[in-house]
Amino acid sequence: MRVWSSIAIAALMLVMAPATADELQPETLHVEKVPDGPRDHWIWIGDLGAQHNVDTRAMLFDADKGKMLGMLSTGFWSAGVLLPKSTGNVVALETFFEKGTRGPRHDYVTVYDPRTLLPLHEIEVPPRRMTALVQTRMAGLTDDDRFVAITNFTPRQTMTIVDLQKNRFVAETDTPGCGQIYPAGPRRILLLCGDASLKSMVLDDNGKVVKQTDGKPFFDPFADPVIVHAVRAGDDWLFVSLAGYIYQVDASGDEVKLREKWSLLTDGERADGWRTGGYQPLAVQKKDGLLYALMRKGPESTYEEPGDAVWVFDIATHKRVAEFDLANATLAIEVSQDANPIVYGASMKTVVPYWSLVALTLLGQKFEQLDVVKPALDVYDAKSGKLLRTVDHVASFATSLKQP
Amino acid sequence: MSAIDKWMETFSRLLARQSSRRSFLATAGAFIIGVGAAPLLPVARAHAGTGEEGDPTRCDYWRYCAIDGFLCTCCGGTTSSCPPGTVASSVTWVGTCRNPTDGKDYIISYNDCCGRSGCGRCTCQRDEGDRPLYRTDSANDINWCAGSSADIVYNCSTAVLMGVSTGD
Repeated sequence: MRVWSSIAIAALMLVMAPATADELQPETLHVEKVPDGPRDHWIWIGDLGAQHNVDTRAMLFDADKGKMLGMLSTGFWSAGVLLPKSTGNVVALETFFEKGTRGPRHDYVTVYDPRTLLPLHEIEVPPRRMTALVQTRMAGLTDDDRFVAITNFTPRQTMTIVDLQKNRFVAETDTPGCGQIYPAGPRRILLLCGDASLKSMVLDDNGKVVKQTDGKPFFDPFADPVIVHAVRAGDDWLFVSLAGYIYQVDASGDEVKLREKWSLLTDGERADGWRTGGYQPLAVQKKDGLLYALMRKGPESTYEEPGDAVWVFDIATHKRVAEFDLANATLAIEVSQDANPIVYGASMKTVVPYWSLVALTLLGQKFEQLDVVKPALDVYDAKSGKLLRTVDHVASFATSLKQP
Repeated sequence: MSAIDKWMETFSRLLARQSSRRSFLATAGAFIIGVGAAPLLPVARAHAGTGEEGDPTRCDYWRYCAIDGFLCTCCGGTTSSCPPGTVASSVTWVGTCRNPTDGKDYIISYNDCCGRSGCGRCTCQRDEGDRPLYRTDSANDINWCAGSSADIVYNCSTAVLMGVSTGD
Protein backbone atom coordinates (compact mmCIF):
# COMPACT_ATOMS: atom_id res chain seq x y z
CA MET A 1 0.00 0.00 0.00
CA ARG A 2 2.78 2.38 0.96
CA VAL A 3 4.51 1.75 -2.37
CA TRP A 4 1.38 2.64 -4.31
CA SER A 5 0.89 5.78 -2.24
CA SER A 6 4.41 6.88 -3.02
CA ILE A 7 3.88 6.30 -6.72
CA ALA A 8 0.64 8.30 -6.63
CA ILE A 9 2.29 11.22 -4.87
CA ALA A 10 5.16 11.20 -7.36
CA ALA A 11 2.72 11.19 -10.27
CA LEU A 12 0.82 14.10 -8.77
CA MET A 13 4.04 16.08 -8.37
CA LEU A 14 4.90 15.42 -12.01
CA VAL A 15 1.50 16.75 -13.11
CA MET A 16 1.94 19.86 -11.00
CA ALA A 17 5.54 20.41 -12.00
CA PRO A 18 5.02 22.80 -14.97
CA ALA A 19 3.59 25.48 -12.65
CA THR A 20 6.55 26.82 -10.78
CA ALA A 21 6.26 29.29 -7.97
CA ASP A 22 7.44 32.11 -10.24
CA GLU A 23 4.86 31.41 -12.94
CA LEU A 24 1.83 30.98 -10.71
CA GLN A 25 -0.42 34.01 -10.56
CA PRO A 26 -2.42 33.69 -7.36
CA GLU A 27 -6.04 34.64 -7.73
CA THR A 28 -7.42 37.49 -5.70
CA LEU A 29 -10.85 37.08 -4.24
CA HIS A 30 -12.99 40.06 -5.09
CA VAL A 31 -16.60 41.17 -5.24
CA GLU A 32 -18.23 41.69 -8.61
CA LYS A 33 -20.20 44.71 -9.67
CA VAL A 34 -23.20 44.60 -11.93
CA PRO A 35 -21.70 45.02 -15.40
CA ASP A 36 -22.20 48.00 -17.69
CA GLY A 37 -23.81 47.58 -21.05
CA PRO A 38 -27.26 47.25 -22.58
CA ARG A 39 -29.96 46.40 -20.10
CA ASP A 40 -32.73 45.90 -22.61
CA HIS A 41 -33.08 42.27 -21.70
CA TRP A 42 -32.41 42.39 -17.98
CA ILE A 43 -35.14 41.50 -15.54
CA TRP A 44 -35.69 41.70 -11.78
CA ILE A 45 -37.55 38.70 -10.39
CA GLY A 46 -39.47 39.13 -7.15
CA ASP A 47 -39.07 36.01 -5.04
CA LEU A 48 -41.77 35.79 -2.41
CA GLY A 49 -40.09 32.77 -0.79
CA ALA A 50 -43.51 31.30 -0.14
CA GLN A 51 -42.21 28.29 1.76
CA HIS A 52 -40.22 30.49 4.14
CA ASN A 53 -41.22 34.09 3.66
CA VAL A 54 -38.86 35.57 6.23
CA ASP A 55 -36.23 35.57 3.49
CA THR A 56 -37.66 37.14 0.34
CA ARG A 57 -35.35 38.16 -2.45
CA ALA A 58 -35.11 40.19 -5.62
CA MET A 59 -32.89 38.62 -8.27
CA LEU A 60 -31.43 40.25 -11.38
CA PHE A 61 -31.00 38.18 -14.54
CA ASP A 62 -29.60 38.81 -18.01
CA ALA A 63 -32.17 36.99 -20.13
CA ASP A 64 -29.97 36.93 -23.25
CA LYS A 65 -27.15 35.15 -21.49
CA GLY A 66 -29.36 33.23 -19.12
CA LYS A 67 -27.12 34.50 -16.36
CA MET A 68 -27.86 35.70 -12.86
CA LEU A 69 -26.19 39.05 -12.17
CA GLY A 70 -26.93 39.57 -8.49
CA MET A 71 -29.63 39.76 -5.85
CA LEU A 72 -31.02 41.68 -2.90
CA SER A 73 -32.13 40.25 0.42
CA THR A 74 -35.40 42.07 0.93
CA GLY A 75 -36.39 40.73 4.33
CA PHE A 76 -39.82 39.55 5.36
CA TRP A 77 -42.47 39.26 2.63
CA SER A 78 -41.20 42.07 0.45
CA ALA A 79 -43.30 43.97 -2.08
CA GLY A 80 -40.40 43.72 -4.52
CA VAL A 81 -38.49 46.55 -6.14
CA LEU A 82 -39.23 49.86 -7.81
CA LEU A 83 -36.92 51.09 -10.55
CA PRO A 84 -36.70 54.91 -10.92
CA LYS A 85 -35.30 55.55 -14.39
CA SER A 86 -33.97 59.01 -13.52
CA THR A 87 -31.39 57.67 -11.06
CA GLY A 88 -31.08 54.05 -12.15
CA ASN A 89 -31.18 53.07 -8.48
CA VAL A 90 -33.02 50.03 -7.18
CA VAL A 91 -35.62 50.77 -4.50
CA ALA A 92 -36.79 47.83 -2.36
CA LEU A 93 -39.74 47.57 0.04
CA GLU A 94 -38.38 45.66 3.01
CA THR A 95 -39.46 44.48 6.45
CA PHE A 96 -37.30 43.07 9.25
CA PHE A 97 -38.03 41.84 12.75
CA GLU A 98 -35.29 42.42 15.31
CA LYS A 99 -35.14 38.74 16.26
CA GLY A 100 -35.92 37.21 12.89
CA THR A 101 -39.58 36.43 13.42
CA ARG A 102 -39.95 38.15 16.81
CA GLY A 103 -39.36 41.50 18.36
CA PRO A 104 -40.06 44.98 17.04
CA ARG A 105 -40.80 45.25 13.33
CA HIS A 106 -38.99 47.72 11.09
CA ASP A 107 -40.09 48.62 7.57
CA TYR A 108 -37.68 50.29 5.18
CA VAL A 109 -37.59 51.79 1.76
CA THR A 110 -34.03 50.85 0.90
CA VAL A 111 -32.28 52.55 -2.02
CA TYR A 112 -29.56 50.39 -3.59
CA ASP A 113 -26.68 51.38 -5.84
CA PRO A 114 -27.39 49.66 -9.18
CA ARG A 115 -23.73 48.69 -9.72
CA THR A 116 -22.66 47.52 -6.27
CA LEU A 117 -26.13 46.48 -5.07
CA LEU A 118 -25.18 47.97 -1.70
CA PRO A 119 -27.62 50.15 0.26
CA LEU A 120 -27.24 53.87 -0.35
CA HIS A 121 -30.10 54.90 1.92
CA GLU A 122 -32.23 52.99 4.41
CA ILE A 123 -35.37 55.06 4.96
CA GLU A 124 -37.40 53.79 7.89
CA VAL A 125 -41.16 54.03 7.40
CA PRO A 126 -44.16 53.12 9.60
CA PRO A 127 -44.20 49.32 10.07
CA ARG A 128 -47.56 48.82 8.48
CA ARG A 129 -46.90 47.85 4.84
CA MET A 130 -49.52 45.50 3.38
CA THR A 131 -48.32 41.98 2.66
CA ALA A 132 -50.13 39.80 0.14
CA LEU A 133 -49.43 37.15 -2.46
CA VAL A 134 -49.68 39.82 -5.13
CA GLN A 135 -46.52 41.95 -5.18
CA THR A 136 -47.41 44.35 -7.96
CA ARG A 137 -49.11 47.67 -7.21
CA MET A 138 -48.40 47.42 -3.47
CA ALA A 139 -46.27 50.53 -3.95
CA GLY A 140 -45.60 52.99 -6.74
CA LEU A 141 -43.36 55.83 -7.89
CA THR A 142 -44.69 59.16 -9.00
CA ASP A 143 -43.88 59.76 -12.66
CA ASP A 144 -41.10 62.20 -11.76
CA ASP A 145 -39.47 59.46 -9.62
CA ARG A 146 -39.52 61.83 -6.64
CA PHE A 147 -41.95 60.10 -4.28
CA VAL A 148 -42.75 56.51 -3.34
CA ALA A 149 -46.30 55.69 -2.21
CA ILE A 150 -46.82 52.50 -0.18
CA THR A 151 -50.12 50.85 0.72
CA ASN A 152 -50.54 49.90 4.39
CA PHE A 153 -52.97 47.46 6.01
CA THR A 154 -53.28 46.70 9.72
CA PRO A 155 -56.27 46.26 8.73
CA ARG A 156 -56.67 50.02 8.91
CA GLN A 157 -55.81 51.28 5.44
CA THR A 158 -53.29 54.07 5.08
CA MET A 159 -50.67 55.23 2.61
CA THR A 160 -47.04 56.10 3.32
CA ILE A 161 -45.19 58.72 1.26
CA VAL A 162 -41.37 58.70 0.99
CA ASP A 163 -39.23 61.41 -0.62
CA LEU A 164 -36.48 59.83 -2.77
CA GLN A 165 -34.73 63.17 -3.28
CA LYS A 166 -34.34 63.95 0.40
CA ASN A 167 -34.33 60.26 1.32
CA ARG A 168 -36.79 60.64 4.13
CA PHE A 169 -40.23 59.52 5.25
CA VAL A 170 -42.76 62.26 4.59
CA ALA A 171 -46.15 61.29 5.97
CA GLU A 172 -48.77 58.62 6.48
CA THR A 173 -52.27 59.42 5.22
CA ASP A 174 -55.53 57.61 5.92
CA THR A 175 -57.00 56.03 2.81
CA PRO A 176 -60.12 54.24 4.08
CA GLY A 177 -61.36 51.61 1.64
CA CYS A 178 -58.56 52.27 -0.84
CA GLY A 179 -55.24 50.53 -1.34
CA GLN A 180 -53.30 49.60 -4.48
CA ILE A 181 -51.28 52.32 -6.16
CA TYR A 182 -51.18 53.43 -9.81
CA PRO A 183 -49.03 56.43 -10.84
CA ALA A 184 -50.75 58.99 -13.04
CA GLY A 185 -48.56 62.06 -13.39
CA PRO A 186 -45.45 63.78 -12.03
CA ARG A 187 -46.95 64.28 -8.58
CA ARG A 188 -50.13 62.23 -8.81
CA ILE A 189 -51.16 58.72 -7.88
CA LEU A 190 -54.39 56.76 -8.08
CA LEU A 191 -55.67 54.35 -5.44
CA LEU A 192 -58.00 51.45 -6.24
CA CYS A 193 -60.95 51.44 -3.86
CA GLY A 194 -63.43 48.83 -2.68
CA ASP A 195 -66.31 50.60 -4.43
CA ALA A 196 -64.60 49.95 -7.79
CA SER A 197 -63.39 53.52 -8.24
CA LEU A 198 -59.96 55.13 -8.53
CA LYS A 199 -59.22 57.92 -6.09
CA SER A 200 -56.82 60.57 -7.40
CA MET A 201 -54.27 62.09 -5.01
CA VAL A 202 -51.97 64.98 -5.92
CA LEU A 203 -48.79 65.70 -3.94
CA ASP A 204 -46.99 68.99 -3.53
CA ASP A 205 -43.22 69.51 -3.65
CA ASN A 206 -42.95 68.30 -0.06
CA GLY A 207 -44.93 65.12 -0.68
CA LYS A 208 -48.00 66.37 1.13
CA VAL A 209 -51.37 65.35 -0.30
CA VAL A 210 -52.88 68.64 -1.47
CA LYS A 211 -55.76 67.45 -3.61
CA GLN A 212 -58.00 64.38 -3.53
CA THR A 213 -60.61 63.56 -6.14
CA ASP A 214 -62.95 60.61 -5.78
CA GLY A 215 -63.71 58.62 -8.88
CA LYS A 216 -66.85 56.84 -9.99
CA PRO A 217 -67.10 53.04 -10.01
CA PHE A 218 -65.89 51.78 -13.39
CA PHE A 219 -66.64 48.07 -13.00
CA ASP A 220 -68.91 45.84 -10.93
CA PRO A 221 -66.84 44.62 -7.95
CA PHE A 222 -69.33 41.84 -7.22
CA ALA A 223 -70.36 40.55 -10.63
CA ASP A 224 -67.03 40.85 -12.43
CA PRO A 225 -64.15 42.27 -10.36
CA VAL A 226 -60.87 43.34 -11.93
CA ILE A 227 -57.56 42.04 -10.58
CA VAL A 228 -55.22 44.56 -8.97
CA HIS A 229 -52.38 44.05 -11.44
CA ALA A 230 -52.87 46.54 -14.27
CA VAL A 231 -50.72 48.00 -17.03
CA ARG A 232 -50.24 51.44 -18.43
CA ALA A 233 -50.52 52.61 -22.02
CA GLY A 234 -49.99 56.35 -22.37
CA ASP A 235 -52.42 58.09 -20.01
CA ASP A 236 -54.56 55.00 -19.73
CA TRP A 237 -54.50 52.16 -17.25
CA LEU A 238 -55.74 48.77 -18.45
CA PHE A 239 -57.40 46.52 -15.88
CA VAL A 240 -58.57 42.98 -16.63
CA SER A 241 -61.59 41.35 -15.03
CA LEU A 242 -62.09 37.74 -14.04
CA ALA A 243 -64.43 37.31 -17.03
CA GLY A 244 -61.78 38.53 -19.47
CA TYR A 245 -62.88 42.11 -20.10
CA ILE A 246 -60.41 44.98 -20.30
CA TYR A 247 -61.50 48.10 -18.44
CA GLN A 248 -59.43 50.86 -20.03
CA VAL A 249 -59.53 54.01 -17.90
CA ASP A 250 -58.42 57.48 -18.91
CA ALA A 251 -56.32 58.90 -16.07
CA SER A 252 -55.40 62.20 -17.75
CA GLY A 253 -58.09 64.34 -16.11
CA ASP A 254 -58.73 65.18 -12.46
CA GLU A 255 -61.42 62.53 -12.30
CA VAL A 256 -60.52 59.12 -13.68
CA LYS A 257 -63.03 57.94 -16.27
CA LEU A 258 -63.70 54.68 -18.05
CA ARG A 259 -62.58 55.18 -21.63
CA GLU A 260 -63.91 51.88 -22.87
CA LYS A 261 -64.57 48.29 -21.94
CA TRP A 262 -63.45 45.69 -24.40
CA SER A 263 -63.03 41.96 -24.46
CA LEU A 264 -60.05 39.64 -24.68
CA LEU A 265 -62.40 36.79 -25.48
CA THR A 266 -65.11 35.79 -27.90
CA ASP A 267 -68.38 34.76 -26.28
CA GLY A 268 -67.49 31.15 -27.06
CA GLU A 269 -64.09 31.42 -25.40
CA ARG A 270 -65.69 33.02 -22.35
CA ALA A 271 -68.21 30.19 -22.15
CA ASP A 272 -65.31 27.74 -22.38
CA GLY A 273 -63.68 29.30 -19.31
CA TRP A 274 -60.78 31.21 -20.85
CA ARG A 275 -59.43 34.03 -18.66
CA THR A 276 -56.10 35.49 -17.57
CA GLY A 277 -54.00 33.54 -15.07
CA GLY A 278 -51.16 34.02 -12.61
CA TYR A 279 -50.21 37.04 -10.50
CA GLN A 280 -48.91 39.34 -13.24
CA PRO A 281 -50.81 38.41 -16.40
CA LEU A 282 -50.58 41.63 -18.45
CA ALA A 283 -47.70 43.43 -20.15
CA VAL A 284 -47.57 46.27 -22.69
CA GLN A 285 -45.13 46.62 -25.57
CA LYS A 286 -45.32 50.38 -25.88
CA LYS A 287 -43.80 51.04 -29.31
CA ASP A 288 -46.31 48.87 -31.17
CA GLY A 289 -49.18 49.37 -28.72
CA LEU A 290 -49.49 45.67 -28.01
CA LEU A 291 -51.02 44.05 -24.94
CA TYR A 292 -49.60 40.66 -23.93
CA ALA A 293 -52.00 38.59 -21.82
CA LEU A 294 -51.14 35.40 -19.93
CA MET A 295 -54.10 33.06 -20.49
CA ARG A 296 -55.49 29.89 -19.01
CA LYS A 297 -58.67 27.89 -19.22
CA GLY A 298 -60.59 26.95 -16.09
CA PRO A 299 -63.31 28.08 -13.73
CA GLU A 300 -63.28 31.52 -12.15
CA SER A 301 -61.62 30.20 -8.97
CA THR A 302 -58.47 29.48 -11.02
CA TYR A 303 -57.86 33.10 -11.96
CA GLU A 304 -54.53 33.24 -10.11
CA GLU A 305 -53.29 29.86 -11.20
CA PRO A 306 -50.57 29.51 -13.82
CA GLY A 307 -51.28 30.36 -17.43
CA ASP A 308 -50.11 28.23 -20.32
CA ALA A 309 -50.52 30.57 -23.31
CA VAL A 310 -49.90 34.20 -24.26
CA TRP A 311 -52.37 36.09 -26.43
CA VAL A 312 -51.29 39.37 -28.04
CA PHE A 313 -53.74 42.21 -28.70
CA ASP A 314 -53.54 45.48 -30.61
CA ILE A 315 -54.67 47.95 -27.93
CA ALA A 316 -56.03 50.41 -30.51
CA THR A 317 -58.16 47.94 -32.46
CA HIS A 318 -58.67 45.36 -29.68
CA LYS A 319 -57.88 42.65 -32.20
CA ARG A 320 -55.93 39.57 -31.21
CA VAL A 321 -52.90 39.60 -33.48
CA ALA A 322 -50.96 36.59 -32.19
CA GLU A 323 -50.94 33.82 -29.65
CA PHE A 324 -48.48 31.18 -28.55
CA ASP A 325 -48.27 28.32 -26.07
CA LEU A 326 -45.83 28.51 -23.19
CA ALA A 327 -43.23 25.91 -22.35
CA ASN A 328 -44.11 25.82 -18.65
CA ALA A 329 -46.97 26.77 -16.34
CA THR A 330 -46.38 30.51 -15.86
CA LEU A 331 -47.23 32.89 -13.00
CA ALA A 332 -46.05 36.25 -14.38
CA ILE A 333 -45.08 37.78 -17.72
CA GLU A 334 -43.30 40.92 -18.87
CA VAL A 335 -42.20 42.15 -22.30
CA SER A 336 -39.08 44.16 -23.19
CA GLN A 337 -39.29 47.55 -24.90
CA ASP A 338 -36.42 47.33 -27.40
CA ALA A 339 -36.44 46.76 -31.17
CA ASN A 340 -36.16 42.99 -30.72
CA PRO A 341 -38.58 42.44 -27.86
CA ILE A 342 -38.66 39.32 -25.74
CA VAL A 343 -41.32 38.00 -23.40
CA TYR A 344 -40.21 36.90 -19.95
CA GLY A 345 -42.16 34.21 -18.13
CA ALA A 346 -41.75 33.40 -14.43
CA SER A 347 -42.76 29.77 -14.50
CA MET A 348 -43.05 26.57 -12.49
CA LYS A 349 -41.14 23.98 -14.47
CA THR A 350 -41.81 20.32 -13.80
CA VAL A 351 -38.31 19.03 -13.19
CA VAL A 352 -38.97 15.30 -13.30
CA PRO A 353 -40.27 13.43 -16.33
CA TYR A 354 -44.03 13.06 -16.41
CA TRP A 355 -43.77 9.31 -16.90
CA SER A 356 -41.80 9.04 -13.67
CA LEU A 357 -44.59 10.82 -11.78
CA VAL A 358 -46.99 8.18 -13.05
CA ALA A 359 -44.55 5.45 -12.05
CA LEU A 360 -44.04 6.92 -8.58
CA THR A 361 -47.78 7.14 -8.10
CA LEU A 362 -48.28 3.56 -9.19
CA LEU A 363 -45.64 2.59 -6.64
CA GLY A 364 -47.65 4.33 -3.94
CA GLN A 365 -45.41 7.35 -3.43
CA LYS A 366 -47.19 10.52 -2.26
CA PHE A 367 -45.80 13.88 -3.28
CA GLU A 368 -46.88 17.51 -3.26
CA GLN A 369 -46.92 19.60 -6.39
CA LEU A 370 -44.10 21.78 -5.09
CA ASP A 371 -41.95 18.65 -4.77
CA VAL A 372 -41.78 18.24 -8.51
CA VAL A 373 -41.54 21.80 -9.82
CA LYS A 374 -38.84 24.44 -9.71
CA PRO A 375 -39.30 28.11 -10.56
CA ALA A 376 -37.71 28.98 -13.90
CA LEU A 377 -37.34 32.01 -16.15
CA ASP A 378 -38.53 31.34 -19.69
CA VAL A 379 -37.52 33.69 -22.49
CA TYR A 380 -39.55 33.91 -25.72
CA ASP A 381 -39.24 35.91 -28.92
CA ALA A 382 -42.10 38.40 -28.51
CA LYS A 383 -42.91 38.41 -32.21
CA SER A 384 -42.82 34.71 -33.04
CA GLY A 385 -43.47 33.25 -29.61
CA LYS A 386 -40.50 30.93 -30.05
CA LEU A 387 -38.92 29.76 -26.81
CA LEU A 388 -35.36 31.11 -26.82
CA ARG A 389 -34.17 29.67 -23.52
CA THR A 390 -35.17 28.55 -20.06
CA VAL A 391 -33.09 29.57 -17.06
CA ASP A 392 -33.53 26.91 -14.39
CA HIS A 393 -33.71 27.26 -10.63
CA VAL A 394 -34.52 30.94 -10.33
CA ALA A 395 -35.89 32.04 -6.96
CA SER A 396 -38.14 29.82 -4.88
CA PHE A 397 -41.52 31.37 -5.66
CA ALA A 398 -41.33 34.04 -8.33
CA THR A 399 -44.50 36.09 -8.62
CA SER A 400 -43.38 39.38 -10.14
CA LEU A 401 -41.15 40.63 -12.94
CA LYS A 402 -39.79 44.13 -13.41
CA GLN A 403 -37.49 45.57 -16.07
CA PRO A 404 -34.68 48.05 -15.32
CA MET B 1 -38.07 14.86 -23.92
CA SER B 2 -39.17 11.30 -24.58
CA ALA B 3 -42.28 10.54 -26.62
CA ILE B 4 -44.17 9.27 -23.58
CA ASP B 5 -43.21 12.40 -21.66
CA LYS B 6 -44.40 14.62 -24.47
CA TRP B 7 -47.63 12.70 -24.64
CA MET B 8 -48.14 12.95 -20.89
CA GLU B 9 -47.46 16.68 -20.98
CA THR B 10 -49.88 17.23 -23.85
CA PHE B 11 -52.53 15.16 -22.12
CA SER B 12 -52.04 17.06 -18.88
CA ARG B 13 -52.30 20.40 -20.68
CA LEU B 14 -55.53 19.34 -22.33
CA LEU B 15 -56.87 18.20 -19.01
CA ALA B 16 -55.88 21.46 -17.38
CA ARG B 17 -57.65 23.41 -20.09
CA GLN B 18 -60.86 21.48 -19.75
CA SER B 19 -61.59 22.22 -16.15
CA SER B 20 -59.66 22.69 -12.99
CA ARG B 21 -60.41 23.63 -9.44
CA ARG B 22 -56.85 24.07 -8.42
CA SER B 23 -53.65 24.79 -10.23
CA PHE B 24 -52.63 23.27 -13.47
CA LEU B 25 -50.03 21.37 -11.55
CA ALA B 26 -52.44 20.19 -8.94
CA THR B 27 -54.79 19.12 -11.68
CA ALA B 28 -52.07 17.26 -13.49
CA GLY B 29 -51.09 15.70 -10.20
CA ALA B 30 -54.66 14.77 -9.43
CA PHE B 31 -54.89 13.12 -12.79
CA ILE B 32 -51.67 11.30 -12.27
CA ILE B 33 -52.63 10.25 -8.78
CA GLY B 34 -56.04 9.25 -10.05
CA VAL B 35 -54.55 6.90 -12.61
CA GLY B 36 -53.68 4.20 -10.21
CA ALA B 37 -54.05 5.38 -6.70
CA ALA B 38 -57.63 4.54 -5.88
CA PRO B 39 -56.59 1.85 -3.39
CA LEU B 40 -54.21 4.34 -1.77
CA LEU B 41 -56.78 6.96 -0.92
CA PRO B 42 -57.11 7.55 2.81
CA VAL B 43 -60.08 6.01 4.47
CA ALA B 44 -62.83 8.59 4.79
CA ARG B 45 -63.06 9.81 8.33
CA ALA B 46 -66.29 10.84 9.92
CA HIS B 47 -66.20 13.77 12.32
CA ALA B 48 -68.53 14.52 15.15
CA GLY B 49 -70.96 17.40 14.94
CA THR B 50 -71.64 18.21 11.34
CA GLY B 51 -70.95 14.73 10.06
CA GLU B 52 -67.88 15.40 8.00
CA GLU B 53 -66.01 13.10 5.70
CA GLY B 54 -62.59 13.44 4.18
CA ASP B 55 -59.00 13.96 5.21
CA PRO B 56 -58.29 17.41 6.73
CA THR B 57 -54.62 17.06 5.78
CA ARG B 58 -55.56 17.02 2.10
CA CYS B 59 -56.31 20.04 -0.03
CA ASP B 60 -59.52 18.51 -1.38
CA TYR B 61 -61.10 18.45 2.10
CA TRP B 62 -64.45 20.24 1.84
CA ARG B 63 -63.72 23.06 4.31
CA TYR B 64 -60.78 24.27 2.21
CA CYS B 65 -62.88 25.41 -0.76
CA ALA B 66 -61.59 28.99 -0.50
CA ILE B 67 -58.26 28.57 1.27
CA ASP B 68 -54.82 29.69 0.10
CA GLY B 69 -51.85 28.76 2.25
CA PHE B 70 -50.29 25.97 4.29
CA LEU B 71 -52.73 23.65 6.06
CA CYS B 72 -52.33 23.89 9.84
CA THR B 73 -53.43 20.26 10.05
CA CYS B 74 -50.02 19.38 8.56
CA CYS B 75 -48.12 21.81 10.81
CA GLY B 76 -49.02 20.79 14.36
CA GLY B 77 -52.50 22.28 14.48
CA THR B 78 -55.96 21.26 13.34
CA THR B 79 -58.70 22.86 11.25
CA SER B 80 -59.68 24.87 14.32
CA SER B 81 -56.42 25.23 16.26
CA CYS B 82 -53.03 26.77 15.66
CA PRO B 83 -49.71 24.93 16.08
CA PRO B 84 -47.91 25.27 19.43
CA GLY B 85 -46.04 28.52 19.86
CA THR B 86 -47.97 30.42 17.23
CA VAL B 87 -50.54 33.18 17.65
CA ALA B 88 -54.05 32.98 16.17
CA SER B 89 -55.02 35.95 14.03
CA SER B 90 -58.14 37.68 15.23
CA VAL B 91 -59.08 39.41 12.01
CA THR B 92 -59.64 37.28 8.95
CA TRP B 93 -61.94 36.55 6.05
CA VAL B 94 -64.66 33.99 5.52
CA GLY B 95 -65.78 31.66 2.79
CA THR B 96 -68.81 29.45 2.21
CA CYS B 97 -68.23 25.77 1.51
CA ARG B 98 -70.66 22.95 0.83
CA ASN B 99 -70.32 19.89 3.03
CA PRO B 100 -70.81 16.93 0.71
CA THR B 101 -71.95 14.76 3.61
CA ASP B 102 -75.14 16.69 4.34
CA GLY B 103 -75.30 18.95 1.28
CA LYS B 104 -75.47 22.09 3.44
CA ASP B 105 -73.40 25.26 3.01
CA TYR B 106 -71.29 26.30 5.97
CA ILE B 107 -69.50 29.54 6.88
CA ILE B 108 -65.79 28.85 7.23
CA SER B 109 -63.40 31.31 8.87
CA TYR B 110 -59.87 31.04 7.50
CA ASN B 111 -57.90 32.39 10.45
CA ASP B 112 -54.15 32.44 9.96
CA CYS B 113 -51.67 31.25 12.58
CA CYS B 114 -48.78 33.64 13.05
CA GLY B 115 -45.43 34.18 14.73
CA ARG B 116 -43.38 31.46 13.06
CA SER B 117 -42.03 31.37 9.52
CA GLY B 118 -44.06 29.65 6.82
CA CYS B 119 -44.74 26.04 7.75
CA GLY B 120 -44.14 25.04 4.14
CA ARG B 121 -46.20 21.84 4.31
CA CYS B 122 -49.43 20.93 2.54
CA THR B 123 -49.67 23.97 0.28
CA CYS B 124 -53.30 24.41 -0.71
CA GLN B 125 -54.82 26.97 -3.09
CA ARG B 126 -58.48 26.66 -4.06
CA ASP B 127 -59.80 30.21 -4.26
CA GLU B 128 -63.53 29.55 -4.68
CA GLY B 129 -65.14 32.94 -4.14
CA ASP B 130 -61.77 34.62 -3.58
CA ARG B 131 -61.78 38.27 -4.56
CA PRO B 132 -58.99 40.80 -5.26
CA LEU B 133 -57.35 42.77 -2.45
CA TYR B 134 -59.75 45.76 -2.52
CA ARG B 135 -62.52 43.37 -1.46
CA THR B 136 -60.71 42.76 1.81
CA ASP B 137 -63.53 40.75 3.36
CA SER B 138 -63.23 38.11 0.64
CA ALA B 139 -59.54 38.29 -0.27
CA ASN B 140 -57.41 35.28 0.59
CA ASP B 141 -54.27 36.83 -0.95
CA ILE B 142 -53.97 39.11 2.07
CA ASN B 143 -51.63 38.04 4.84
CA TRP B 144 -54.21 38.01 7.60
CA CYS B 145 -51.56 37.89 10.29
CA ALA B 146 -51.60 41.67 9.86
CA GLY B 147 -53.07 43.07 13.04
CA SER B 148 -52.22 40.04 15.18
CA SER B 149 -49.86 40.36 18.13
CA ALA B 150 -47.27 38.49 16.06
CA ASP B 151 -47.72 41.03 13.27
CA ILE B 152 -47.25 39.70 9.72
CA VAL B 153 -45.22 36.55 10.36
CA TYR B 154 -47.37 33.88 8.64
CA ASN B 155 -47.19 30.19 9.57
CA CYS B 156 -50.33 28.36 8.35
CA SER B 157 -54.11 28.61 7.81
CA THR B 158 -57.04 27.05 9.64
CA ALA B 159 -60.63 26.46 8.48
CA VAL B 160 -62.87 27.08 11.45
CA LEU B 161 -66.51 26.05 11.20
CA MET B 162 -68.66 29.06 12.15
CA GLY B 163 -72.21 28.02 11.28
CA VAL B 164 -74.65 27.07 8.58
CA SER B 165 -75.07 29.54 5.75
CA THR B 166 -78.64 30.64 5.27
CA GLY B 167 -77.87 31.91 1.81
CA ASP B 168 -79.03 35.45 2.63
